[in-house]
Amino acid sequence: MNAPRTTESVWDWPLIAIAALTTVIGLLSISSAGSAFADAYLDNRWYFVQRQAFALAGGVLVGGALLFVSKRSLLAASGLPQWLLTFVLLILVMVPGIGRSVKGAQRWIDLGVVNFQPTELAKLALVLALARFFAGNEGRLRDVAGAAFPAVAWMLPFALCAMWQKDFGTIVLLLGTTAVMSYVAGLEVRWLALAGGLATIPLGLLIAMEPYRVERVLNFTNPFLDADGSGYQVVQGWIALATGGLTGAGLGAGVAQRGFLPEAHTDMLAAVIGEEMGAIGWAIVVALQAGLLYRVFLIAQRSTQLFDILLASGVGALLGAQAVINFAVIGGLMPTKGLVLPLLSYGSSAAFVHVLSLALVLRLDHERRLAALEPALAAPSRALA
Amino acid sequence: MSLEMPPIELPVEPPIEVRRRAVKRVGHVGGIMFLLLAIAGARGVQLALAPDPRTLESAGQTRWVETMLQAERGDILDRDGRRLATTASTPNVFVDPAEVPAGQHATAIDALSRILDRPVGEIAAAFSRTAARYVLVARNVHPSQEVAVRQLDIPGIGIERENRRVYPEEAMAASVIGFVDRDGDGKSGLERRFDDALRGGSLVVQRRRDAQGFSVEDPLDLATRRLSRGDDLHLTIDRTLQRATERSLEKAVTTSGAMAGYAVVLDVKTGEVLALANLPTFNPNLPPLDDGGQRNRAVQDAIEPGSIFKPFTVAAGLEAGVIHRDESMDCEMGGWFVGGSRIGDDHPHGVVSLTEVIKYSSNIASAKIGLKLGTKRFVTKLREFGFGAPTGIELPWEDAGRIRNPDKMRTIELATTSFGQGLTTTPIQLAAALATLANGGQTVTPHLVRRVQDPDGVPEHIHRPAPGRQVVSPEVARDVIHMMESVIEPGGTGTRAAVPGYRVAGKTGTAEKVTNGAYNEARISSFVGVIPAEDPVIAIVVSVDEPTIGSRYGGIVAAPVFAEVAAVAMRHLGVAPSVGVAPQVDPANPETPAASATVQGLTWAGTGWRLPDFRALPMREALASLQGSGLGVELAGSGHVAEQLPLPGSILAPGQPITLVLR
Repeated sequence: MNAPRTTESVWDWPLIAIAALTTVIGLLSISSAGSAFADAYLDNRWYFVQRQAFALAGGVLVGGALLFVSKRSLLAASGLPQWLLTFVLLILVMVPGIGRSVKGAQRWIDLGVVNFQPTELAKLALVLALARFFAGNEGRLRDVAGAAFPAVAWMLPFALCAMWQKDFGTIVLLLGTTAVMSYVAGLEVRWLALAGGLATIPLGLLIAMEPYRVERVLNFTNPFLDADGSGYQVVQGWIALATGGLTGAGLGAGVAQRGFLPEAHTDMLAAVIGEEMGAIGWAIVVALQAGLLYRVFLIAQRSTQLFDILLASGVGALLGAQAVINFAVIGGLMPTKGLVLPLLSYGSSAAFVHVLSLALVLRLDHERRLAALEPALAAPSRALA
Repeated sequence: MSLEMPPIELPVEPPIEVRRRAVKRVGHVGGIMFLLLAIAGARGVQLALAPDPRTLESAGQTRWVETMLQAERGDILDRDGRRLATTASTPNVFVDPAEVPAGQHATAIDALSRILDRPVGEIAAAFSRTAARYVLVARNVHPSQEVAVRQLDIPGIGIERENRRVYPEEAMAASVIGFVDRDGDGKSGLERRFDDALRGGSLVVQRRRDAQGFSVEDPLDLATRRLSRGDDLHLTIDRTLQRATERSLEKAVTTSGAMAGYAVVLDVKTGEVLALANLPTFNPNLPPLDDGGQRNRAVQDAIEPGSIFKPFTVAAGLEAGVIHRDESMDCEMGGWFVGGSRIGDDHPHGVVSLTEVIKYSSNIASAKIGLKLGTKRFVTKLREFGFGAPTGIELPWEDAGRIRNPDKMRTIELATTSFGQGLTTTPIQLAAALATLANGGQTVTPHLVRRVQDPDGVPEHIHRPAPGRQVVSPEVARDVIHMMESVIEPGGTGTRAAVPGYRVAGKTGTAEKVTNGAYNEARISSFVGVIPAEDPVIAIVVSVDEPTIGSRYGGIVAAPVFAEVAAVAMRHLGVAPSVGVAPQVDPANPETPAASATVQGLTWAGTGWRLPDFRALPMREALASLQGSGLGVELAGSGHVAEQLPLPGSILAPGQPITLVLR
């Protein structure tokens, strides 16, 4: 327990500052990384920057509103209602005429101004739903029946929809987040180990069924074995990093995004940052992600309520896993997997949802701080705890 | 299965336990995340600072585009510094079809078609190549067209300036100068032989490129300025003589319906080539696609010389002492057998003087001299004259000619060699050998380049004549030249080579052409000669290949060319006539007055040059008067000056460009 101090702020300003700095760096990087492609194919070199800024602004607006929503109201909505709403959206994507396909994957709903990707929302929705469920079953969480089965029941419908949408990155995140939150909630490690062991069987089968996947898994550490094929993206990323060296070519002076590096403004943005801002820029970006995670996990650890702990650690796991996988894929430490870098990469839905998730964490932390300052003013949440 | 076991009633944990454990486990999760993040982050730093060699290799292969920057090519100038080849900056029009806004396509095509005066379809075809980022629409456009294109101001339509090789004299001396291809590589003639010196500095610039291969870095101006311009070539060629030689040769070739013709004018004392003409020729401003026209026959084609070779046989005989200058020779009344083969003379003669052997061009008497010499002595002497070996003239692909091996030479072959059959020589070899006789028996090396000079005017190389070898004694040389004078005298075969006021020594030849190893009806009509005979200044070799109209005798077809060229040369070189009435010669201004009077020079006006009116002048005259002014010259078109910018009377400081539009 932290001793209440009157000088302490009621908001986690370091988290806000880190998030703001990260998004600014993200917008700058996207403006360079995406401009060549946007200029060539969309006739507007600021296309991606504009869309990203729009999504971030939307996130700040809605997230800002959420800062004023009390935890009581949040708890009320975080269970089945928001889960069902998300599920409906996931189903709608699969309805012909509503869902939109990009690059052969049907993942988007056309909202007129923007395309929305419900699987991005689904990740946060699952975190909310699981936090709400576990918090409501506090004391019976070490058990498979009490925690694991229901958790899988919350997760599985989303995962199946993601599978239909060929969004394997989302499946990995849904599984990972569920595992992390179950662990934090108290599930015994042996059950987690068992689940992990069982999960490798279908995963291995899926990989073994397609020769190219076997090749990709075997080759990921050595992309040069197929530098023009499966290793192409990684090799191009490595060239970008090597070209950047320590200090980089300068913002906007990178070449990778000019037709060499696929997904330069999305999955491979950190490689472009590496070319333009050098190893220093890369390290700063990694440090910002680490800082973000540190503040989120710190909030989780400072929390007094299980819901707060779970929500913050779920958000932390969600953001952290994406960052780790993104960096590791660029580094050739993991097979290629399409995941964005939180608050940096281009992706309207992801950017929007990531801002929302941080807003939720900030709000919970805010209430804890208020309670610590003046216990009498704290919103009572005993009803559920 | 464990997953199906019934729910076990566990004691409900106290919340404080649950939360304490949760907080601890958050620490585990966070710790693992930080560890993974640190590993992945360190990996990225490693890839940036200590990259895999294969990464660098792959980057080297794909991320760079190499551009060769080429300095401005040096000029080629005649012996008086008049430009025969120079470099001018000319505008090209290109389009980047993808950059042209869709709505302006039709407008752009129409406008370009109108401005460039080209069919709409042709322009539209260029615009349809949307994948290309650069389509050249027109080269070397008129400055007014350049302005009009710029004023269109349509994105994707651009003007670039290109350094283009310009030959102000067009076809003149083209076979000597040669030409460069579009890449700026010298392809023939001096342009090829002196390519390294002319091209000057070059620089390979590596620039980063995008995936389409286009550089992402800036134009090359800075790098270009650091390159030093190529060396200038100062030739021995005299433009006036060259032009006179070509004009006379062309007249002979045309009127005789010949296939080709060539002529060499050599300074007999220095070996400087004053003129070297080949017909047919070509305009190096429009590089030819085949090599038919650019062949320098005078250097590359070794053929049987025929009768023009006889003076060298006589000289060899005199030098060896097997004959005497006052000796009489029996021409056997036109028929004689050597080793079972019959040798014939066209005009039967009995016993004649040695002079008459040359005058009447007796094969029989020549053969007798050759036989007296024997193969060894004869061939050795011929080699000393330079036959059977390249002269070393600074042109590519020189033919060495061929003399039979003296150890294997049969008697009849020795006999025919004596009158110029069964061996091959090039015109440049004949000119050099003739110059040797005219130079008192001492060899000279024919050459075209007086000096190679760097852009600052410092000579890189000056031709220094190698000391000549004494092939025959001065007396023998003088005697043979004197005997050759008889050819031009009445009754000789070369009377048409006579030049009023001067003594001429020469020899005619009408060689049978060998095709597929057999003599045939085709002839090569030649005349070789020196002037003035008493103290020769120049040697001239003229050959007309396969005349078809009228006489084919060298004395009829080729000798007049000699006479005309020699007359111009004597006047131009200021050689005083020694016979009869002297013509009007102004030694101070040997140029034809008509040509020089029309060129108005530049006048210095304090801050710059006051420009004269160049309009209606031929390009070469305009360039000649701009020479040395320091003014940049931008040329468009070819022919005569039609427009000039700035206008006459304007004052232009050195370094500023003047634009000449030619038509």
